[in-house]
Amino acid sequence: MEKLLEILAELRPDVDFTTEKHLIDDGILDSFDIVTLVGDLNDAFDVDISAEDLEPENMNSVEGMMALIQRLREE
Amino acid sequence: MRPAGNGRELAERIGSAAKGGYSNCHGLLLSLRMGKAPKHLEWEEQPGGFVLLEEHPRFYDLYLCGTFDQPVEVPPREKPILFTHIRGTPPTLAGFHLFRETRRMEIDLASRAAPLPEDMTLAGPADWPELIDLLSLCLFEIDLPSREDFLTEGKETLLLRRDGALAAAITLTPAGRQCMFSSLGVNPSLRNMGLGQAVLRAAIGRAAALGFSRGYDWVNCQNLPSLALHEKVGFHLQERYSSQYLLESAAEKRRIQRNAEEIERRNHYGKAVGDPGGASSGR
Repeated sequence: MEKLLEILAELRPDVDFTTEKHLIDDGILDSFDIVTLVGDLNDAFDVDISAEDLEPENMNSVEGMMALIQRLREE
Repeated sequence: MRPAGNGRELAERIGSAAKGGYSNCHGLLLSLRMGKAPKHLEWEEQPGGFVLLEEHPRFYDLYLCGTFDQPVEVPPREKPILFTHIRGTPPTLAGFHLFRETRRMEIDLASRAAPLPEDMTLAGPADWPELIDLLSLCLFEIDLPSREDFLTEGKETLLLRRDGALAAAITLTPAGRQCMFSSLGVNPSLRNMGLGQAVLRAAIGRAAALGFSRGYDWVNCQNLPSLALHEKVGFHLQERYSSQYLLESAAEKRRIQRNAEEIERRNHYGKAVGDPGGASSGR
């Protein structure tokens, strides 16, 4: 979780990711953020987040992202 | 190409068919899954993946999702087609050329709130003709706003006049909690007089006063004066960059073809006139 928060803080220092639960629904992350974030997560956690995994609930919060990463690492 | 129709169904098709490949459409896919398909979106399936085109007033945005072992073929249209690549290795795009590379520059707006300077005004609908005349002198055609863009709710354009005439302008666009700055233009005859800096500083003050915590702009890497100007007023270069590839409009392609044919015709004529052997051999 710490590593994820570090990546997110570097991406968007203006957002408090510990409290935000609607990063996609509320348009807090834009399309450039999302493309960059997916690439960063793939590199940092050695996973392959595919188009199929891009569901709002997977990206709306830190918890959603962490659950996706864990699922992909277990596959 | 087919119209997008039901965004969710399209997103599912793309998601399940395009595994492990390239994608520059993450944001678009999320929007489709939320039932927020762009108004003018078309798509088609090609060998290796999905090709999507979103129509804007002056151009199309091209999105790709798939493995694309063969070059992607997108026929020219009556408006240019822009492909923005952010990360990874992009597929080969037949007929496209690298248009520019841009870097994202950001600024922290905390404590930067300021009232609009006295010599600046917020643009209204009546300012459109003068604004587009100014921006036509300053921006690539593909970057020019449409009237519809200009009138979009939430956007603001700041105008700076000198002797009654429009001298410089900049547009502020809300992007979530951030403010995007764009369409910064200074009349070419009034450059190097600090007007660009004045409107950019005013835009920063205005964005902060509107409650945005952060501002950003995408700056052409080859535009060194613009990079320097942004740094001077407090922007910082970010690691994020994008490469933009362009397929000229069908009309532009025809013009280029006509020019090439004209050059060929002149060369041939010159050769025939300048080379007596060549000229006589055909008779």
